[in-house]
Amino acid sequence: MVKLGHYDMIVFLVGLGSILIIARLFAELFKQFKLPSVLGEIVAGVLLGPSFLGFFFPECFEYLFPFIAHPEFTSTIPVQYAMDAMINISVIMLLFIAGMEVQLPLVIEQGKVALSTTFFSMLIPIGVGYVGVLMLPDLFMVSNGDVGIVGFFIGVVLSITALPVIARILMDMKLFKTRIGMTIIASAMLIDLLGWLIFSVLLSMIDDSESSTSLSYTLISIILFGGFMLTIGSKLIDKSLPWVQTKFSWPGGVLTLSLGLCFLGAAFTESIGIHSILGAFIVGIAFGDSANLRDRTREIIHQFVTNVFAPIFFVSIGLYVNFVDNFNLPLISVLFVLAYTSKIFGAHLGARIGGLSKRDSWAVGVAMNTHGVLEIILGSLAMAAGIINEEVFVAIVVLVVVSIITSAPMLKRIVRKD
Amino acid sequence: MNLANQLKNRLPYPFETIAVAVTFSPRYKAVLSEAARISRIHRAKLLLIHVGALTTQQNRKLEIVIEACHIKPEHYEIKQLQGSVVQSILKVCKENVVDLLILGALKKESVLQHYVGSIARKISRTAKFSILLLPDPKERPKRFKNVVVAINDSPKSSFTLSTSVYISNIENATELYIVNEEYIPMFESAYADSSTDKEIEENKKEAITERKEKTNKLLDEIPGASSIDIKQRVIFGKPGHSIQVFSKCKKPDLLLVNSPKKTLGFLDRLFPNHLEYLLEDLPCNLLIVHSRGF
Repeated sequence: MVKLGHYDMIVFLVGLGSILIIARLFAELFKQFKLPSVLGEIVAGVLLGPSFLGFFFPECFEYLFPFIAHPEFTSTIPVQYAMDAMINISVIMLLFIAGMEVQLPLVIEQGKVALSTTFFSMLIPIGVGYVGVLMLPDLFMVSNGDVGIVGFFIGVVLSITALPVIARILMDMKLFKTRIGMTIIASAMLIDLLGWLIFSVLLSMIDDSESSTSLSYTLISIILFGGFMLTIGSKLIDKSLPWVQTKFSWPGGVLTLSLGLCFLGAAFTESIGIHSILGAFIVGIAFGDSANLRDRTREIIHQFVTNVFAPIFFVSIGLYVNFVDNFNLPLISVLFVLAYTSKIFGAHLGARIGGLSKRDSWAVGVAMNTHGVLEIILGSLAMAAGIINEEVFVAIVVLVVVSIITSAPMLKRIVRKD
Repeated sequence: MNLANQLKNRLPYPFETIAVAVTFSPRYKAVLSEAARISRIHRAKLLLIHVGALTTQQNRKLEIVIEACHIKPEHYEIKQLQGSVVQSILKVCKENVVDLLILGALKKESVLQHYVGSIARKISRTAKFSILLLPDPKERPKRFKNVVVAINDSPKSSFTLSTSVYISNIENATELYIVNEEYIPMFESAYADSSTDKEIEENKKEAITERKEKTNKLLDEIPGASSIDIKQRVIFGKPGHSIQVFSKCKKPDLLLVNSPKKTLGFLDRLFPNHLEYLLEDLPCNLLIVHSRGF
C-alpha cells in the first residue's frame, strides 16, 4: 500500500490546517460586511496563493505549499495526489448539498411562471454566451474546433443562478415568500438541475472524443439514473429516513448514510462515463426532497460541508491559479456585459410571459443575475477538462464576486421604487 | 343565474347541501350515520348519491338505514346515476351546488393504489367543493370535540380558518388548535455558512411571532372566534407532512386543511403536493375546505 511519508504528512497537514484557519478568518471578516463566507474564502485563497504570498513572500509560500510552488518535483507528488483527492471530495460534497436545496415539488407548485422564467433565463444567456464566443474567439482564447463547446459552456455559466445567495438576500429583504421570491427560488432550482445535466453532457462529449462511449449512451444513462433516483430512489430514502433517524445514533447515523449515498451515487455516474458530480447532485436532490429529513439534520450536513469542505475547495482556487497574471480586463468586461444583459433580460422576459407585472419581472431579472458557488465549480471543472483556460476562469470568478456584491443593492433599488 | 355567479363571493360555509356517496361497502351504514349527524346539526339537505342501478334489495337496505339514522324524508334525496363513479359524483355535486361531500376512505392505501388512485382520493384531488374524508366512521357518531386546522401562507387559509371556527361553534368543540405550517426551503443553506446558532434561533422566533400576529389579526375578523377555546402553534417542516405528523400525535377528531391550488395529477403524487402527504395516510377525519373564488 502506498502511503504518505513522514515529511509528506507534515506538509499535507500544515497546508490543510493553514487553508482552514485562514479561510475561517476571512469568512468571519467578510461576514462583518454582510458578505457571504465564500467570498472571504476565495480572497483567502488568492492571498495565500501565487498572486500574493507566492509573489511577495515566495519562501513562505514554498514552505506552506511546496506541492503547489514546485509541482515538478517528484517528491511532492504524493501530497499533490492527497490534496487533489481532498479537493475532489469537497466538490462532490458541495454538489450534494447543492442538490439538497432543489425541491422539485416547489418547482411544480409554481407552475407556468417558474417554467417560463427558467426557460428564458437559460435560453437567452446560453444563446448570448454562444454567440459571444463565436464572435470573439480570440478574446476567449479558443481554437476554431472548440468554439461550439466553449460557447455553450460560457452560456451555461451565464445562465446559472446562485441559489443560497439569492435565498439569503430574499429572506433578509422579506421577499422570500412573495410571488417574486417563490418564482426566483423555483426557477433557480430548476436551472441548477438543468444546468448540471447540460454541463455533464458537455463534459461527456469532451471525454467521448477520447473514449468509445457515445453521446446517446451518456444521455440514456443520465435519464435512467436521474429518473430512478428522483422517483423510486427518493421514495426509498424517504421511507427509510424515519427508521434511520430513530434507530441509529443521531446525527452520526444519518450523516454517514447521506454522505455514503452521495459517494456511491458519484461513483456510479463516474463509472458509467458521466462526471461524478452529477451523481452527487442527483442523490442530493433525492435526499433533500425527503419530508422525513429533520431540519436539524439538514442543518448539520450543511454546516459540516460548508464549514469544513467548502473552504478547502474555494481556497484552492486561489492557491492554484494566479489571479494577477491571468487578470484580463477586456475579457472580464465582455463577460460582464454578456452576463448582466442576457440574464437580467432573459429572466425578466420569462417572468413577464409567465404572468408577473413589469416591475416584478425586473426584480426577478435582477435577482436571477446572482452568480455563485456553482459557477466557480463549473469553471474549475471546465478548466480541468481543458474547455477554458485560466484567464477565462479568473473572469468567471470575478463575475461571481461582483454579481454577489451588486445583486442585493440592485434588487433593493427596484423593490424600493414601488 | 348561472352556477359561477351563484358561487361567487360565497364562503365555504354554511353547509346548506351535503352529499354522501352510498356504496354498500361494509362501512356504508357508518358513513351514512356520520352524514346524517352532520347534516342534522348543519340543518342541511342531504343528497344520497349512488352510482349504478339500485336493486330492490339495495333500496330496502337503504330505507332501513335511513330510518335508523332518523333522517326525515323531506331532508334527503336519493340521486341515482350511471357511468364513471368519480365523474358522476362530481357532476351531481356540481349540478346541486353541494357545499360538502362526505366520503368513507381507507386510512392508508397500498403504494400501487396510491399512484393509481382510489375513488375518494380521486375526488379529493379534483373537487371544486369541500370534502370530508372519514377513515374510521362510526355507526354511533360522536361530535368533533377536538378540531385542528392547518393554515399557511396561502390566501385560502383565511377561509379555512373561518370554516374551522364555524364548525367548532356548531360542533360545540372543546378546543380548536390552529397550526401554522411554516416552511422556509433553503433556510439551512442560506444561513449555514454565516450565522450563529443564536441568529438562526432569532430568525425562527421572528417567523413564529409574525405568524401568530397574522393569525390573531385574522381571528379578530372572524365572528364567533372568541367563544371557542383556541390554541395556537407554529410548526416547521414541509406543509402537509408536518401537519400529518402533528395530527398523528395529537389525534384530533377533525382536521381542516386548504384545498389544493389546482387539480392534482400524477406528477403531484410523484413529487408530493401538500395534500398528498395527508391522502397517503389519513391521520384522522379530514375536511378539505374549498374556498370558492380561489
